[in-house]
Amino acid sequence: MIWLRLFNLLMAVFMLAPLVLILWMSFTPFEMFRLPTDTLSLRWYREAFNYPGFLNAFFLSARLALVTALAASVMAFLAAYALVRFRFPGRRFFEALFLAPLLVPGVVLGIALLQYVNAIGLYNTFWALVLAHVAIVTPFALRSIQAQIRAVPEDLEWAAMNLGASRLQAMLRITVPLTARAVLAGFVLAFIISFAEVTVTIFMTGPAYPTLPVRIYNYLSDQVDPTVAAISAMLIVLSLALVLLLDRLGGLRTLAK
Amino acid sequence: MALELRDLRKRFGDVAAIDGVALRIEDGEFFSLLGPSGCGKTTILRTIAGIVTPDAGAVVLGGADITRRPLHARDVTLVFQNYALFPHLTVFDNVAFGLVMRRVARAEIRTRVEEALALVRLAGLGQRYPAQVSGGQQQRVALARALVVRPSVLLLDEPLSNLDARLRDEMRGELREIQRRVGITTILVTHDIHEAFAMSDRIAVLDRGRVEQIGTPTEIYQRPRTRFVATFSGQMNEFDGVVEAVADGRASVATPAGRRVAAAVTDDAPGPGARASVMVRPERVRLDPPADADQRLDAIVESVTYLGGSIRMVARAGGDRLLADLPTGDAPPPAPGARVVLGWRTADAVLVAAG
Amino acid sequence: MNAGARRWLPFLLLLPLTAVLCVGFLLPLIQSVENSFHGFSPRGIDRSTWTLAAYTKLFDPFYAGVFGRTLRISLIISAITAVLAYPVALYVAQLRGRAQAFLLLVYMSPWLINVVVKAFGWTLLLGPRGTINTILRTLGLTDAPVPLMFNETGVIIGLIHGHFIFVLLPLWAALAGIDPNLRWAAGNLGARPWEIFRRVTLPLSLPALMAGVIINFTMNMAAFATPALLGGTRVQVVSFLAYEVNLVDLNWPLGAAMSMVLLVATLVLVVLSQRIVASGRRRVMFEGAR
Repeated sequence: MIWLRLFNLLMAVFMLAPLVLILWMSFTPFEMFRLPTDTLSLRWYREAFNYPGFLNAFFLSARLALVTALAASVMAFLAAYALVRFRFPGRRFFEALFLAPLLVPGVVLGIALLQYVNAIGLYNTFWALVLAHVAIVTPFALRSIQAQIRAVPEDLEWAAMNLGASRLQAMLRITVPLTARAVLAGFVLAFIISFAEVTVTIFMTGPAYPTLPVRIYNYLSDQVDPTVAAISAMLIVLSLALVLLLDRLGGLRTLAK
Repeated sequence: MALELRDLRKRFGDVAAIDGVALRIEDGEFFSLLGPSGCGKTTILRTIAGIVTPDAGAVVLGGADITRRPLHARDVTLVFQNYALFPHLTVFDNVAFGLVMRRVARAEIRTRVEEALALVRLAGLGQRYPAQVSGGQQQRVALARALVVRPSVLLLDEPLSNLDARLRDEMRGELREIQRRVGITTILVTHDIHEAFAMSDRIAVLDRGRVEQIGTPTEIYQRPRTRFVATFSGQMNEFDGVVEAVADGRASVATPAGRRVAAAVTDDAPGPGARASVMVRPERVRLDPPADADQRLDAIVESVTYLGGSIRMVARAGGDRLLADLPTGDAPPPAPGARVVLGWRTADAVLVAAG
Repeated sequence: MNAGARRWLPFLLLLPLTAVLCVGFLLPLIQSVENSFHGFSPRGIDRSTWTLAAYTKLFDPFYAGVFGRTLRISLIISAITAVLAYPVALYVAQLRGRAQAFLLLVYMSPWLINVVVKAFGWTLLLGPRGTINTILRTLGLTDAPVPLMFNETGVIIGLIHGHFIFVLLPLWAALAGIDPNLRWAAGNLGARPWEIFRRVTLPLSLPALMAGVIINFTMNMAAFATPALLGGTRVQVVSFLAYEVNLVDLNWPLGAAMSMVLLVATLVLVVLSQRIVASGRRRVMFEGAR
């Protein structure tokens, strides 16, 4: 047992080491990657905020993640409602279609989208990115929302309709408020995934739309100074905050399934 | 408003949930659908509400065929078995829901909801949430919510089954009282015979999607027409055999053991030669029967159980086992092993065809 | 709402998502299939010709070599991950409540952090002037920096870290789901701890381990940013090569063909892993009956 515990400690260190190191390095006062030991400095954070490349990329990524999460959670709610509450021909096909992006490697989807958005003239546009990101995040949002709709007794909707509500009114007045938390969790999850997406985006995005992760990737590939450490540190903190929020909303549990 | 079901049918896969049900419920009547679970009673109720679409037949409300009418336009409200209160709305908003959907003016909603809450004795609890009131109160909220829209027909799906025994007795009386005061046509679904007897003007006993018998509680209990109704509505002493003769409203049945037992019959009773059973309720069986009890047996007491209001005696007469519910009197009941004479009136026995 | 409207309503609700996924997912993949069978000319894709040229080109020693290397590295990563994840899962599965949730979050954290950020973290650790080499030098263990990056070692370390959770999660779920009564029953019958592990715990968790390893393997095969940043041009893997083919050479038929091979391999393996999980369930029931 003691060996198991020790081994786990080592593995936990292995898991966290790169993250901790980035946080530490981001406070370096030096010109290069040298871990600070006696003095800490915020100079690279200032650099990061003064570098328009990163700043613009951050706002692009935030805007993209917001639009993606909004579109995906609303559309996933409507679709999940149909899948849970109705029996109709082709139901399994639709469910499979919505979950399929989970099975397709990012590289494959990235290449397919690159060639397709070029063919339909959407290359180097914001909406091409939205299309791609919605496809990527949908399975995650759909699953958590579906589970929550299933947990709302169908009799509540029947009761509403029995009292004079149409199907749509019953959905808006009963099911929507009762599943709001799950939809919000789906929204946050979609935001996290979209904000962090690299592989698909790097293949199909145009030069006018480098998202933040793509920017960092390009930055790492050529010049490297500790600015990138400050940016990365901020991203780690942001992800952590969003994950804690997601956990509060109960979204992590559906993720682990 | 009067409600009529015409040859209603519904199958779920291989199972006929409703197998040709036809009945008519009069305006202002309290009508019960009584039967064991799986007899189709809830499906019938949901068909009337429009939640279930029948395969065939019609639902006619006040002369208008509403079979294909969408459920939100039916003017028939349902109290669900688990109440189906909206957990995110207050008691007030739950009750107001139907009125809001009908676009009633805000001021009128307020007065009508307050009235409805007062009717079910919940005045002052409007701002609570369903989870903050007791089970009995939730039941009343569901009732108020269904009544406040002044529907043509009120449907109750096992409304008391989630309450404890004492509350159930209390609510039974109250529910009937409210129904009388409002004068609304009401259909109750239940598997509890006492509930159906205590509240209904008439009862339809159902088995496997079919109506076995329709009648007043007295008719159902005292003159059951089928073996199912007889045994479902209470305990029976049974004498199985073959009908020997039918005359003057009397039929006599011979059992394989050679006993002859008679019962009062109507015209549609099984004729001579048919296999049938004579049945007698235990409380109709008398100890040391008076002169008008023309059916008599010599029996040996097997056991005696004191039940408070009555004494349950089990006795054996030849090959037949007999139950008798005797009034508790001053004299001590006979002890096990004692020889006794048991008897009942022919008019208290019924004849049903063999199951 | 009449019966007709009721029939249409679900499709109306499904319409927005279906439309977006058709344009953002289904049609691109279909076009990829088509493009992989077209010819390539310096001006781009030649839609007038149908050919298997792109696929035959994948058999060239250069491309086949990259596929072979990717396969080999991915297998190594999966094998090491399996060995490392098993003891971790054993430990996590017997924890309770908050401790378990916290440790799971620790192991999940690499997955929740941006791939690029993670790779950057590893360059800080593995680089020639990185933390590990600094420590080794300070301790006097080496004079010259040990090459841990821009080679296969770096890629393997980075991907073990990045894709660990895909083996751990199913394994943890399987181990935590084993009825403790089973183990007590085995102990009651006189089995020693090692015997219990070998005869009860291991067989019951093996299907989950296999399923997790297969998913892990498909993730390794398709990884892009980690090998690109930790392996560089010296350790070219399929996805990195596909990037060059698509965005530098602009040879889309070849790029589409490469992605098709990756897609088909992934789908086959995913189906296989689901079969294993299903048959595992059957076998457990069968053995339980014996």
